[in-house]
Amino acid sequence: MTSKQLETDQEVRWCPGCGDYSILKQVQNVIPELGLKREEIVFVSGIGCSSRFPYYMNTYGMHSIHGRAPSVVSGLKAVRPELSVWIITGDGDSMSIGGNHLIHMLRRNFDTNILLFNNQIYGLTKGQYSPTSEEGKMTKSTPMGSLDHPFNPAALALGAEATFFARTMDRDPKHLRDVLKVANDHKGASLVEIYQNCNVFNDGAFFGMTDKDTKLEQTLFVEQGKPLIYGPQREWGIMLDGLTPRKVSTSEVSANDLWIHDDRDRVKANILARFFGDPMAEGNFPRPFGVFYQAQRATHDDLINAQVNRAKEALGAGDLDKLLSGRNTWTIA
Amino acid sequence: MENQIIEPSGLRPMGTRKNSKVVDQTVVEIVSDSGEGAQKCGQSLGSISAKMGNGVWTVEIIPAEIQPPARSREGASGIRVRIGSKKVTNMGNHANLVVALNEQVLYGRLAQDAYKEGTVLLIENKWANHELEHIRNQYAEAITEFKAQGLDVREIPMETECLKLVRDAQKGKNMWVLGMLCGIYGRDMERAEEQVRGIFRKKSEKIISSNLELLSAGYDWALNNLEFNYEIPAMKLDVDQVVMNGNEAMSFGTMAAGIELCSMYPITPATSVSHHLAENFEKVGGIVHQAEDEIAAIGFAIGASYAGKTALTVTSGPGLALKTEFIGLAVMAEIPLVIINVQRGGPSTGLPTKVEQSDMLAAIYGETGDAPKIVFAAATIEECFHFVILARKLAETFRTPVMLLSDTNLATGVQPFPRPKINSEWFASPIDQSAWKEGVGAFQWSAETGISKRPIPGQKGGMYTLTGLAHDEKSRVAYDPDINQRSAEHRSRKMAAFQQTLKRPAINGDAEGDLLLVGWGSTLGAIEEAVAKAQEEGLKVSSIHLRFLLPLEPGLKDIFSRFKKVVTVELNYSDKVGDPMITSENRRYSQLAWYLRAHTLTDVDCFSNVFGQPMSPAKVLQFIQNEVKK
Repeated sequence: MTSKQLETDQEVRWCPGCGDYSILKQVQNVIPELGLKREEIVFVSGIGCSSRFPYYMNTYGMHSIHGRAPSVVSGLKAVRPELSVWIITGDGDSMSIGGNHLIHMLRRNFDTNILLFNNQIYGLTKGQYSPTSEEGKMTKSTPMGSLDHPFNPAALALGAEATFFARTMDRDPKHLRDVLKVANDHKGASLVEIYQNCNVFNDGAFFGMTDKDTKLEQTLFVEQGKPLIYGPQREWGIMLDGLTPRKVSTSEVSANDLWIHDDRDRVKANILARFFGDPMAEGNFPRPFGVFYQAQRATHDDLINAQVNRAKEALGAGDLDKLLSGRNTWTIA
Repeated sequence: MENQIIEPSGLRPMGTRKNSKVVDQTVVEIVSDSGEGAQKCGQSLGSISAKMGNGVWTVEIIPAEIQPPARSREGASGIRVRIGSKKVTNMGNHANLVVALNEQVLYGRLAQDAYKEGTVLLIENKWANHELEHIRNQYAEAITEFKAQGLDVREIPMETECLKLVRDAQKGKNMWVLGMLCGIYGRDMERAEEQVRGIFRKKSEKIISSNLELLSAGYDWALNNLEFNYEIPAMKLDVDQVVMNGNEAMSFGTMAAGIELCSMYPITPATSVSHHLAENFEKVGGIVHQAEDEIAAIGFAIGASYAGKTALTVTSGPGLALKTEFIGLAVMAEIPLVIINVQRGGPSTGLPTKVEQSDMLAAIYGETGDAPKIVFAAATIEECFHFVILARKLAETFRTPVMLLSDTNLATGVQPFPRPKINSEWFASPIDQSAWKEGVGAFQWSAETGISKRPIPGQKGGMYTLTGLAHDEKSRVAYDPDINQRSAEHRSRKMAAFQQTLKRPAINGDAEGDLLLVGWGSTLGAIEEAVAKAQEEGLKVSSIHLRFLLPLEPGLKDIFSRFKKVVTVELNYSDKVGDPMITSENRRYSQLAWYLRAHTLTDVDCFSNVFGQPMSPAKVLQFIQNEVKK
């Protein structure tokens, strides 16, 4: 399989300059490396700009209804666990109208990859604030500013018992590809939040974190087993003082004494998820990217099939005729 | 399986039956506070009677709360059991005998006209000597009132009798009552013991034997203390029978249909379909999935169906409303799916434990846009079984969601019917995973029937994106205005193609006359019993009973044209001309009447109500008599 073979004859209809193009390209680049057959891959989406994604993948796909892709995928994986199933969703689709399905998908842990395109705005409906928009967001539906406090997707996922959470961005293709690969390797529901620029309705929402000039100051790329270090000259590090993170100078603290990233550590993942304020504000931490957390927990697809097998073994494969001639059957002579 | 042969236990009742009066049918009610086991008692009486060869129909009386306050009028919980010498198809009219565990729970039933002058009331008498004065007074007042209303009141020392055998009479009084009723109606005590052993099969032998003792004691007490008892001769049948309620029948039908998955969200009165299913489904490789909400329940089924498995979702009114958008997707994307809707009273939370047939138009027209799908309704408990199999077949043949309607009356009513012999043709064929033919679209609609074949994920060469957007034969999004028109025509054509295969409904009675009643769903038995009585009286009345609602069965306009008047009988709301503000112009018709008027351009009238009670033959008969006299 080549990435070219994954393209379809459908004209891509995102706005010119949309971050979705980059994500599409990287997904098409990564998939050929995963050892899958095209007919065994399914992309399922809800509604929104990102949700048009399945049309552009020459695999099986479903453009379902708003917010409900996780419910469709749950049924799909329950009966066809061997398929590679990807959910494409946005911040409105997954955390507003589909919030309920997202959290239940995460706790049930069906083996699927969830790509959450977070652009902090409703694009398809032409610019209303979303559940991840910042407080005070001025949009067409909130001309005086939104009053809503935004969701923190990382904390939401971990709170919902997710077994995998990672964050990446549309403007770092290599990091995006690497994260997608780890997410796909994870057996369970892998939630990947992708910061994605909507150049029409929310241009520059993440520029501080994605532009070359400011990226190194505002972001923290975590890697398994490596200390938390960032800054244009890698001059800053994060230390853990008990459970309290502290920003320190790498010239004063040795790398061994810094917080060493361990994506199996749930407590640390929860602290990392709270690095969520404006990275430039006084006392705030940089925004983390990479795999925050991954844990092994039985997937719902495996559990269902194991239970069915147990039932058949313990009770003998069902004979419907026998069931119908059970307790409540008789002949009247 | 659990069909244990009862060894002679020495507990067999000793009382002798004398001067039994033979009756061809009777209606018994057992009414109590919630949680006293009245339903278990009545279901058992029904089951024992069915196994003796009697016709049986049961109707549960269920309060809306799980544990309403004790001795409250609105908290009445219970069951009606109609037993007959022939097949019984409905709940009948007034009860002949009622057992009440306290006096308060009877008031509601009296207000609902459940009893008549001469109905025998066997009432627990412990309240007469209750330690609280106001309870003693309430009881005394009630007894006076019931007598004044003409009930034949017998005060029975149920508690006292039970306490001779067990320490806590609350546990087991229902079995004593069952014994008493078995005595009164000459029930086969071997069947009764077998029934009691079945109920407590998961309990200790000690519990089983104490309940058997209560059963015997009740039987003996009736024969030794009541001056009346009855025989209800049974039929001789040589085919195996099963007895179950409609929800159980649907769960067996699901397995017999080869459906592999049922996803649901708990909702009264539909939930027990999935409970019965869950007991056995995994043994035949099936899955019951309890989703996070009603929407996810259908989404789950759609995901499984898209992946090539046959799927079912089961719900009731409010759940159906929530599923609407997904049903629209299933229509648009042509996803085979069985949706069972066990109707209850609405709108909103409505009458969650009571019967109504008011989801009909929502089932047919609930989705936005033009969303044709097959909608049909079971009229008997036996049909609850067979129609699930039919629904699955139709869903796959016509690549469409199929909605099967039932209601509270069928869901909880118990009736015997011939044991279905499993037929392998009922099962779904396995997924075809051979390579998809090149150049064939995922919606290669037949110009004649609108039917197309679908590729299944995993199938080589079949890759496509299923979509809820308007799409062409290749499932590409429509940007050409012609595509939406064309695809809508093909989806609609499937309904016409199916309609061409349907038969005209059978006419119960002459093909012409003064009045034709048209029913659907669980009212079948009441309508036919009333029509039979009216015909005996010489009235020119007939009836038809519809199963298919979308598409409608053929020949209706022609059938209607041979009757002076056509009236639907329904359990949903209609205005009555003459009520305040209601005129013949603004009058709102009941749902089937509305639908048939539009469909046949016939002046179809309606007889309908929303009391939350099953239709009784007496009410239908009274309507016929008034109508024909007019």
